[in-house]
Amino acid sequence: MTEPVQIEAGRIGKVVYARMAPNEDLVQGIEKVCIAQGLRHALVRSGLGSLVDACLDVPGGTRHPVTGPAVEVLSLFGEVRAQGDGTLRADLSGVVVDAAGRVVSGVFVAGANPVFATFEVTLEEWLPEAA
Amino acid sequence: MSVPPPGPYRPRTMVHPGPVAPLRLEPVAARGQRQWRLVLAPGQVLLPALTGTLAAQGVQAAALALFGGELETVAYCLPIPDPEGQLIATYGAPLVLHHAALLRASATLGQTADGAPVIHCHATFADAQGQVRGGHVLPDRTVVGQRPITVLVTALDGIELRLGFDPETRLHMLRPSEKKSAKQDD
Repeated sequence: MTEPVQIEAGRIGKVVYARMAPNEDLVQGIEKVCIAQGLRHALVRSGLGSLVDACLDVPGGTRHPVTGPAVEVLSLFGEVRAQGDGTLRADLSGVVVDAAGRVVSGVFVAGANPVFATFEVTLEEWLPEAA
Repeated sequence: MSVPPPGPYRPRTMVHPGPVAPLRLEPVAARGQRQWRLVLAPGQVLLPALTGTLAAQGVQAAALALFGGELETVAYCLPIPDPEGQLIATYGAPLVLHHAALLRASATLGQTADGAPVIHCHATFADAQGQVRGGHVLPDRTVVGQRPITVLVTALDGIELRLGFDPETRLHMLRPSEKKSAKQDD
């Protein structure tokens, strides 16, 4: 049974900036950046760049593809958390725009959002207090 | 813009015109945690207001979040297929919108090869009808409107962010590297 509200005391550790090259997946690329920098938990401070195509989950179980190239990521929100099985998982949502100026928001599907030209992300390490 | 084939969604891999760089992920850790909150007054042009203020603090690289307030003018581009066929996609001619409400902008402060400050900025904003629009913002042509804009700045001390030509994509982009001397931030 999940608690009604989970609370975790902690603080911000190091700040990491990363550039991601073409065809790296946005979601798993950010997970790999965390592994490379030794971050177990991280908060997205900001992110901007372009994708080949975008694929977003929207409410109601619909998967929404946005066709490029390119699709611009205008905002990126979310976090990376270490999982119980030792893996890292990034849960990221954001806002994208296509060549026609259509703005679409949703949750970035892992493995389905390859970088087009470049993606810049700034992460803040989240250091929970030892329980 | 191509129409995706029917069936389950399959991500596409893009082949760029130039030689493929071996390094695909370039993460660099910053030193310290300097942060500031800025308020940009009506009439300020985004690029000089931000770069001038941050240069005075000795900041050469930073991640910025901008929100609230209005934009008297926002000039922005959308990503279109390259009409000349030299690149896979490029930016279209700038679109100009007046009296927009800024929702959120994400930006990076870096430097050109000769050390001049540059800002890479993507934003969402609402037009006079409340429609959400957005794109790659031209900060030298974007002006704060009647309500001021708030900016949160996280310094990326210890990281050099240089704008340079990327042979793989044939585009100019910011690339990070670790700064050699700690003294450059002082």
